[in-house]
Amino acid sequence: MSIHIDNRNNLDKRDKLRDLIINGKIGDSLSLYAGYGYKHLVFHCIKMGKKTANVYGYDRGWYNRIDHKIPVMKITKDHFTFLSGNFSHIRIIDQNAPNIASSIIGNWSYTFRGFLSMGIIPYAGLRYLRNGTLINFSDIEVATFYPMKVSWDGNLLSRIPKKVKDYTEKCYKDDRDIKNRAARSNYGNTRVVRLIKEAKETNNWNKVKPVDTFSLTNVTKRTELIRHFGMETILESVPNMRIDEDEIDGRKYELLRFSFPAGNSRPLDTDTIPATYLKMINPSTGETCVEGVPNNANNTWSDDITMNTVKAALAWRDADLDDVYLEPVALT
Amino acid sequence: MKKYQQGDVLFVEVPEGKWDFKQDGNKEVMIPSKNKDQPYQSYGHKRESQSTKDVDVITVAHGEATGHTHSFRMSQQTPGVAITAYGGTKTRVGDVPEFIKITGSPAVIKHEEHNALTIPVGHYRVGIVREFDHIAGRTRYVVD
Repeated sequence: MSIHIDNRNNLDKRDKLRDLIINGKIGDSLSLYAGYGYKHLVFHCIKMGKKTANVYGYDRGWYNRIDHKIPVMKITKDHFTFLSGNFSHIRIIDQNAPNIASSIIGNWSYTFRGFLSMGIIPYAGLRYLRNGTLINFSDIEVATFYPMKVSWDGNLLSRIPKKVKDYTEKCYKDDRDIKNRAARSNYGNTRVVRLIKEAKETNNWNKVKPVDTFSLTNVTKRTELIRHFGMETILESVPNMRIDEDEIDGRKYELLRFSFPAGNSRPLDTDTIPATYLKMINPSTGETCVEGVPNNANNTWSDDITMNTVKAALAWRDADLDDVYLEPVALT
Repeated sequence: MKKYQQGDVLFVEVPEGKWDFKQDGNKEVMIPSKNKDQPYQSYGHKRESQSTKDVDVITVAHGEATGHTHSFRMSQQTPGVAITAYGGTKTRVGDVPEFIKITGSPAVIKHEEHNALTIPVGHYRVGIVREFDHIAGRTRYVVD
């Protein structure tokens, strides 16, 4: 297999690739290095038929892998066909996907990222929305899927499957939910901090409610409210149940599960969301404090509830190895 | 492996042999030991020190709302104690070390709202406990 030697340096990558497909001989090849941010990726384009070329994706540090024989793209004079999002040695990144087959939709896609970074396909770009990668063309944005045919003009030629449309909508919705939740948390914290400040200045605490304790992100300010209202009053303000209690080295801990109003939070089809908190006592001051722990230590985005013991909550809180709580030799 | 805790700050003992200490000019650097497991390799391969010879206070955690700090004050330590801080994590209110090494005698760390904590001679990873914000749906380090 000969190597395509190109002496026409004035041609850009797009023209070189087009020239290979239209004018090259079968077996000719062209290496294209990805653009800024993906310079570790290289695409070897090899003319396979009269008007077609296969594209093989490589990470420049992993050349000797046999599974690089699988093309990631096919190119004709009319269109590009993206066959795979990831070079086989790069782990597919999609935490929400239960298995690899479904993770192909909306995955990180080194092929798209690397190839589009070279500017060969006009008017096409990528956008990452926390749990999915969307590819955008001049008139449409859709989650990455395979195989995907794209014209040399940058138009999507493939029909968009329903599950891809659904996944795209899910990406938008999840992204919106995450932003809203973060905004709501920030707003709640700012509001309560302001109310506490006003209450201290006027000595009128009517505007501050016990439930506001859970809106505060700063532990000291939270403890301040607990000191003002009393822990029992705060616990009475939100429905809750004690899941577990434990005494470790003379220190008492309780694991509580609250039912917060769902508002716009996930999941939307329920009125309340469970929220697990660890109640403990500062051994130095004797003050009670509460700190949130996830309902599921292994996957904080999961709706499954597996956090059921004080020790599991403490292990998560301290990021202990293997989720096993390592008791401190000394704690003050 | 032993753990010491003062409020929201953790000192987790680093097993011997995981790191080597070498002199690099005026500073000591911390380098992962060769031919052994490197559980902390994600922290990088070289950490410069902040020696107590240069400063009187080594702060391992800053309070945002209170201005309180978890700090080793060298002038209040028993004679012979040397504490060296390695690496640096940037926070909104100041940099804090990732590791500390205590030599000579046990060192005492103080905080305005916690009892003093005595930490034996050794090499420790400094950590901050975390909490989950159920309203935002995200994990964050505890701040006071």
